[in-house]
Amino acid sequence: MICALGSNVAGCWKEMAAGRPGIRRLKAVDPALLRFSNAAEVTGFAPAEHFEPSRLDLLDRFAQFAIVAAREAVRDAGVEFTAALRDSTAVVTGCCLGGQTAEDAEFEILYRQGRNRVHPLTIPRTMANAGASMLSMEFGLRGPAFTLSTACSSSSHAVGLAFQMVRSGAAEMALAGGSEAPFSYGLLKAWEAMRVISTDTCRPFSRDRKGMILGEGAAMLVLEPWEAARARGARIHGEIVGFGMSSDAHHITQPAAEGAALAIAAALRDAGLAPDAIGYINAHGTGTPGNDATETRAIRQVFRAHAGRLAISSTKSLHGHALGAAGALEAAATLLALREGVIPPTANYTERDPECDLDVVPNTARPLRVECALSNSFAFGGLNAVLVFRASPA
Amino acid sequence: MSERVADKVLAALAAVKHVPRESISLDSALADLRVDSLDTITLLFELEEHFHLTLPDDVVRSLRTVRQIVEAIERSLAAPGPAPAATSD
Repeated sequence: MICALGSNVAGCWKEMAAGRPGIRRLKAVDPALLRFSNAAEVTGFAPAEHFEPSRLDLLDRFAQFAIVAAREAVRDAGVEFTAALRDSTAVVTGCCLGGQTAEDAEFEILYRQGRNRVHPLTIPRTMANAGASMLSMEFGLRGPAFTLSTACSSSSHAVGLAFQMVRSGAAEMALAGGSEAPFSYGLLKAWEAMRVISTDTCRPFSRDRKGMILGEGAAMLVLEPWEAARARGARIHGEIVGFGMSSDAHHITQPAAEGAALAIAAALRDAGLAPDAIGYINAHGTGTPGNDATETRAIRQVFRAHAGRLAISSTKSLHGHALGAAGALEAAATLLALREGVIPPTANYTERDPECDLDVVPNTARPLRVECALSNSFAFGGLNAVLVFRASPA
Repeated sequence: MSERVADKVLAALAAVKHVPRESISLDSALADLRVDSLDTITLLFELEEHFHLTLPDDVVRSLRTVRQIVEAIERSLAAPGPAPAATSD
């Protein structure tokens, strides 16, 4: 796990549990050129500490994050890959943009500097599946490997599909998650034009919320059947027990509560759980006026009276909106909340909004043991993915 | 209210919505014209380019009628700062 909060799980969780946002003044691009000036960037990341120079030539920042997060996950899982296991381990990554910092840099050479050649490794650096391919090569994994792209739901879909493959026996093990590195001038101008980026910070569910704060990073999970993990004495962080997907069939950017509710209900059905079995929801919670009110309606629609008893928080207020990495970062945050018995807060919260009237755990983490939790992801384009997690018995 | 600004706003909105200009009036509500968030940002992109100005996101989000768009642009044009010159297109 790597994001604005830290470069490993322990570091990220420490900040999350302390409710300290990783949102700072933008460094990758001069904020004087933009209408917003804050972002949740990974800081203190020195690629040369992680990769040989010849390897680095091939890696956009998003692929670097994917590898760094996956190395931590595989190390933590204590997996010893045999030849047979390598051949039946899947890699599923989510990514919204691919290697667009590399692309932006090379196109700048063409368009602004007026030269007529770009770097010969531009294609392998920028292809969206570079993360999945690099993970397959890094660990010698020869099972099914692919990248899927569903905007802000990408890595929730990735984790969910990997979960289904492991559950069905299509893969013995899976390395799943997502990565993103969106901080290039061209892309930030495009987000600026969308008018959804906050000019100060990310305040999900707060009445004065002004939009999202972009983030970056990666999170990767090692998935295997419960019995297999127990048999080899693995350190189990938690269990994925359900996955639900839906689409809004509504609008290319505006969310619809009905679509989100369909995905939540499908996830609960898949897990075989009643709504009142859920104690915590890691919300999509982008901090835009539209998402947070719509997500609140969707939660109320599915959970009815139980909605008022749920602890709900948006960790995007801490690690920013890391687009294709968001679902994986939030899956990790949800698992950590279950494992530690601590609900990370919705940071930067100032004022109650009658349209977002659920318990959003404002500003301060809450010690609370919860057995089951959801992680919501609702993408631009109306593509929804919801994961259900259960705490590992102590 | 300046006719020049109003004319440009009406023309730009008609173009964004692909409807005859006569079907839109200053008092039209954006919701009635089925102007959604993407139409709004596209319209404002055209108008900001034309008038050489930038309207803050919270102002844009508060716009509900065609007249409010015209008034927001006029306020921005009247604000102190480097004198903006409209392009001729």
